[in-house]
Order: sequence, then C-alpha cells, then structure tokens
Amino acid sequence: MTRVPMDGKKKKPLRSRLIDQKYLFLLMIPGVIWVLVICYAPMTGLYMAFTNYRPSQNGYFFDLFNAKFVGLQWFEYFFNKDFGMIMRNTLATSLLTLLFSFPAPIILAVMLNELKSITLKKFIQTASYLPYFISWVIAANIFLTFLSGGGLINDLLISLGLIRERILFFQHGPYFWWIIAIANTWKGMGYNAIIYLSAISGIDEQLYEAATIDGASRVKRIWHITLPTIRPTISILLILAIGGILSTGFEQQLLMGNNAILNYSDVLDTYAYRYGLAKGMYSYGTAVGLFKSIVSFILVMSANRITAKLNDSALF
Amino acid sequence: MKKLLGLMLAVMMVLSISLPIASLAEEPVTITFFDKNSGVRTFDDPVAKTLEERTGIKLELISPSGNPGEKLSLMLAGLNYPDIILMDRSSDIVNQYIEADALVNLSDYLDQMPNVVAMYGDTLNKTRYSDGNNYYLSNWYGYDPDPVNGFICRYDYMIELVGKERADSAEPFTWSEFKGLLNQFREAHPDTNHALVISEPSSGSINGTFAGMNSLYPYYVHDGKLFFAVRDPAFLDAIHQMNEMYREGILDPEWTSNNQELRNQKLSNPGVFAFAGAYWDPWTPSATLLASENENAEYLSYKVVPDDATTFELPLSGRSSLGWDAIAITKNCKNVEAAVKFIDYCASQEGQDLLLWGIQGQDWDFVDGVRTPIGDIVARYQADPSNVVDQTGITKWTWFVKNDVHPDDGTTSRIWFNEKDRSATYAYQNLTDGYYDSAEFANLEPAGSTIEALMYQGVIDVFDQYYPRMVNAATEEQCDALYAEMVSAMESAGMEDIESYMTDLYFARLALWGLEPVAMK
Repeated sequence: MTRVPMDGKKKKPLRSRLIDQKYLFLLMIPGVIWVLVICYAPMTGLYMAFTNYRPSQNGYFFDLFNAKFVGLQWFEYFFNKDFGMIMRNTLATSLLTLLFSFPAPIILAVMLNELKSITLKKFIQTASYLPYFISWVIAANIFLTFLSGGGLINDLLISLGLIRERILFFQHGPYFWWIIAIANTWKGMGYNAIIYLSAISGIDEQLYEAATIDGASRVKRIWHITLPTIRPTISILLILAIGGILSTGFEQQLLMGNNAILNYSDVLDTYAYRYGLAKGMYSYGTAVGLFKSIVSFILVMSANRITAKLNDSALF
Repeated sequence: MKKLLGLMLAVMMVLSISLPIASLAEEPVTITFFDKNSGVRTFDDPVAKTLEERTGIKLELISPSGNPGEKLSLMLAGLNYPDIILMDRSSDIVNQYIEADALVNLSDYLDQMPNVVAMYGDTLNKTRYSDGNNYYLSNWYGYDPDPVNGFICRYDYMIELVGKERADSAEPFTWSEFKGLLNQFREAHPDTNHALVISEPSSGSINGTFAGMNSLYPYYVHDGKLFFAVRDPAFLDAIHQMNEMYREGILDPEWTSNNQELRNQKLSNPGVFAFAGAYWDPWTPSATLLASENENAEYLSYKVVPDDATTFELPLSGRSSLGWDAIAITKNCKNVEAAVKFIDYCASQEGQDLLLWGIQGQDWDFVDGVRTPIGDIVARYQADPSNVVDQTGITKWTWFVKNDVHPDDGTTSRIWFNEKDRSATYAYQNLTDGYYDSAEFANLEPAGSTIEALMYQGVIDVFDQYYPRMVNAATEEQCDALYAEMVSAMESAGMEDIESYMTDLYFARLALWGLEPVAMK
C-alpha cells in the first residue's frame, strides 16, 4: 500500500526526489567528507588501545595494524591502578562545576533580561563574557596570584576578620576541586548566558503584558513565563553538560595543579595526557581516552532518554 | 616586428623559469632543528648569523612551545620530527626514538665528522646503543667538576648575622649552626614571611641540597643491588630536616607551586635569607637586588654539613659526564651530509668558541696566545645576564658543549666563567668536594610502552604525591607515618620488580664501562 501524505498529494519516488534535490546533495558533500575525514577516520586509532603500539619508520597504519594485540591489558592495568582516584577527582570536579556553572548563566541571563538600563545591560554582558576569551594560561595565573598565601583573597579575608591564618589554597587537595569549579564557572558563565538570552528574546511580549494585567509580580513572571519558555534550551544544555561530565577540563588542572595536590588534581584528561603524550605510552593513553568516550556516550544517551521522558524536548 | 616580439616573449619566459632556479641554487641549505631548551628564543643574534655564514646552512629553529617532552612524543607518533632534535638524555624519549628507527646511525658518518671524533673521544663509546651504534651526540659532556647545589644565602644578611670574616670563610656551617642563623634572621627581621625558599619539586627526586647534605644519590646502591633512594636510611633524615623547616615556618609553605617566575619573584623581595638549590638559580634575583638594595644584596653559596659529619665530601654536585641532552639527526633529514657538516662544525673547537665565547675580534680575541674578552662584555653580563646573552648570542645556543678548559691556553669553555663573578667565586670556594659523575644512574628506567614502564611511572607518581605531603606534615610522627604509607604504596605499584630490572641494567653497564659503583653503601 502506498502511503499518501496528509495533504493528499502522492509522494514522489525516492529517485525523483534525489534528482530534484541533487544540488542540495552536492552542497552537502564537503560537509560529509569533513565529517568522515576529521571525525571518523581518526577513530581507527582507537584500535591502539588493544595493542602495544610503537611508532616506527614504517608508517602509522603499518605500525598500528602490525602491533602486538594485547586485548584489554591496558584497561585492566588502569582499573587496577589509578581508576578510583582519577574517577573520584574527575567526578568531584565535574559535579561541582555543574552545580555552579549550570544555573549561573540562567540566573545571569534572567537578571540581564530584567535590567531596564540598556547601557548597564551591555556593560554587564560584555564584562561577563570577556573571561571566555582569556586563555587558561592567563586565567590560571590570575587565580594563582589572587589565591596565593600573600594574595588578594587572603588579604581581604584577613582584613574582614574572617580568618586569622592565611589559607594556602593550592596546598589542600579538596580546595582544588572548588577552585576549578569556580574558575570554570567564571570563565564560561557570560558566554553561556548568551544562549539563554537569545532564547528569552524569543518569548512573546504579550505573555508578559497579560501577566502584568493579571497582577503577576516580576518574580512570578520569571517563574511562570520566562523559565518555562526556555525549558527546552535548558534541557538541551543539560544533556550536553551531562555528556561532558568526564571532560572536566585539562589546561586548568595542568596549570594550577602541583605535586602536593596531584592526587586531587589529576583527572582523566590530564592522566591520559601525562601517560599518553608526555611519557609516550600511546596505547595506554588511548585506552584511558577510549574509556572516557564510552562512558560519556552512555551518559549522553541516558540523559537524553531521561529528559525526553520528563519533558517534551530531547536532543535526538 | 612580430618575430621580435615573439623572441622577446620567449626570452622572458625562459628567464622567468630559470631565474627562480638560479636563485634557488644560490640559497643555503635549510636544516630544521628542535631544541627543547630554546624556549621563545629566536635564531637571529650575531652568533646565530655568523654560524649560518660559516656553515653555509640556514637553521630553522622549531620552538618547543609548551612541554618539550609532549612535543617530542607527538612528533614521533606523527613521524613529523625535524632534521635535528635536541632532547633530554635522562628521559626514555631517546630510547623511544632509537627503537622507532627514527634516528640516523651516526656511526656511519663518523669519518665525515673528524672534529666530533677528536672532541668526544671516549664519550662516543659510552653513549653507544645496545646494538653498538651511536645514534646521538651528548650535550654538556665530559667531566665537569663545577659546583651545583648548596644553601645560597643573601650575603648582606650573612654579614649582618655572622660578620664579614665568617661570611667570607670557606668553612662549612653545621646544620645546627645554619638553623640558628635562620632563626636569628627571623628575629632580626620580624616582618619576614619565610626565610628559606626552594623550587617546586622535580619529578622523582627531592631537593638537591637536602639530598646532597645527607649523602643521598639518585639511587641507593647497597649489598649488590640498586634501590630507589627512598630505601636509603638517610632519606628520612633529609625529609625530617625539610619538615622541621616547614613546621617552624622557616620554609616557604608554598614551595610546591614555586615555578621559576614565582621563585625569582620571592627571591627578589627583601625578607628571604636563603635558597636551597643550584647556585646559578638566583642569578636573576641577585641582579635585581644588587640594583635595588645594596652592593652586598646578592645570593652566594654556602655549604652546610650534618652535625655529626666525619667528612665534608658530600654529593652536592652530581653531574653526568655523558651530558644532560642528546642531539640526533632524524631520518626525516633530506640532507644528512649538510646536517653532519653543521654538527661537526658546532662540535669543533672553533664552533664551540663561536657559540660560547662569541665572535672573535668583536667579543674576544687572543692576547699573547690567551683568549681574552674584549671591553666590558663580562661585566655587562654579570650585571644583566639574560639580556646580554640574548643580545650577543653568546651561550644562547648551547649545543655539543664540552665541559673542559681550552687545551691551548687553559681558559674556560664559556667566556662568562673566565672571569668568575662573586657568585661563581663563592660557589667554587665553598661548595668544594661535592662532585660525582652521575652518568651511571642515567637512563636506567624501563622505556617505551611496556607494563614495566607503566609500573615505573606508577612508582614515581606515588613518590611525587607523597614527597610534598611528608615535608608539609604537621608533626614528625605524621611525617613518619606518611613515609611508611609511601613505601608501601610504592611497593604495591611494583617497586621491587622495577628495582630488579634496573639492578641488572646498572651492573651490566658498570661491567661494560669497567667502573665501580660511585655510591655503594
């Protein structure tokens, strides 16, 4: 039985549709090639995680496919050795980051939306998203200087009478998780707020006007109009954030960490980097990276499914 | 007319094709060079230009930009290494490059490198790979009895505390005396934060001054076996001393984050009495202090010995006769002959003089057969070392450096050391009897992508995490408990297996070289 579209017109056969849309397909070709070459082709390297890869003059593919197959040896070593500590650090840093950095841009966007002064709104918006464009090298030095024993934060806390002894922020491991979470939030908050601001700008003004006539206060208007309307955007960004929960940062840990707190600062990315790149243990580094990718994939799928069940919107 | 026009056009076409070929033929050969130590330096100073003129080779320097070890690993994995690479000899990256067949066998080219053969001598035998071939040349090779570690103290404060005569004396201080000085300093300068500064920890080892003062070598050789230094009974003594400094508020508590910039910043401030480390590390802060404070505000070297010392011979200055770095030609080099020529010139005495003394007739010249600096170049260097090195190019490119005096006139290998400044004078006067050749301990760790290499790294990771915690422990009991915990964790990570692996390699090496262990206890 041939399916008949709702409008009653008979759908053209696939071949005709392909011919009709040939220029669109032609336009798509560069994008498809890009995805295949940049995103999928490097995935062949994941096989490295199951071999004892050693580079030689024979070329990458020859070395990769002729390397000794070792099965799950590198994964077993990782799970028996540092897995617990690395996962604890990664999850602690990520969850703390999520705790601050997820609501912060929503709050900022809502507050900016409520501002009446355009000049002030532009100033705050610019000032808040500027940190996004500062490199981590500079940002890390700012934090290291401000939070050092003789730094501004210690001076401030002492002058306010909140502490007597200076706090050595970078000598205590658990502090480091909070510092990274705050630094991540500070850096990304303004930029992420733009996404929410654009979603807010699409809200029909008549809804606010009607609510005002009905006597809704500003807080009620935010609660009953603004937030529900941007809920799809919040959902999608939450799915993406949960998917990236194991990508808790790299440069910030590397630049702000030190050996005294290595057992708190070392996360999956820095660990894979230290072993895989800095020490040239390519197979082991790949195994750690592959583990992270699989877990991230499962997390995205789960978050997407949960969000789809709870809301009407999901990423896919 | 048409014929003439056609002829002109034909001539122009031929010229346009042949001119670039002619100009290409005149261009010097370009060699790409990755130097892990070059930082952000540019190869455009007078020495660099002269080197290019003399060798006829244009050098394209590749900046390490970030972690050089990472860049070397990435270049190896991507087979996109440059023509010549300079890497850390003590790291396993050298063996990784050799095992990957990425390096040119230099033994095949030794007949084209007469200067290398003459200058390196027996060093070439000692740096052979297990297959008997030379794949790299050492940098900073040869016996080098220069002092290294000590307590580098502010000379003006030292005079204030002990008087000029004692401050100028070569007699070492005992540990108790030195602690007394640190405490006296704090009493005399109550606004001082912390009297002793040290640099951030290096992976796998403790501070060189405290290690040397307690006769610790890179590894503990005992009863015919090689162990990690943590097994040496003196290891805990050194940690106790550092912990005591920390608990008493003498040691800068943020020492674990003291990178070079932060360390120099702290040492440049008034209120620091001493630095524990290499005597050259505080040169930049000293230059700042001499300019801003007084003529004696300079960090000078002092030796501190244990209270019960029976000898003043302490291993404070471990240096490898086989050098710090390895320089190799890679198989990506299209013109190996040119690279060989370049290397042979740099390694020659003339090349070394250019790199380390500068341009003859401009920076130095022979006076009665002796190399003599021209004008005030050494004084300018002593006042502002970084800028003078950058501007002149002298010692900016330290390649194929031989640690020796000139055989013809007895002058030092580097122009700056020919006239010792006060810092070097005090180091040579006070940090005597500290030299040992650490070559036998280099490259013992398992290399490459193996379970042994992973285990070794795991052991080092445990050490790196516990070392600061032991030093920063609240009590000595807590410090001891952390030490026991660390040894246990290192054992769980496979320390014994790695020690067996390294013991075999170590004694096989000593047998090959015909040497006795330097640190047998």
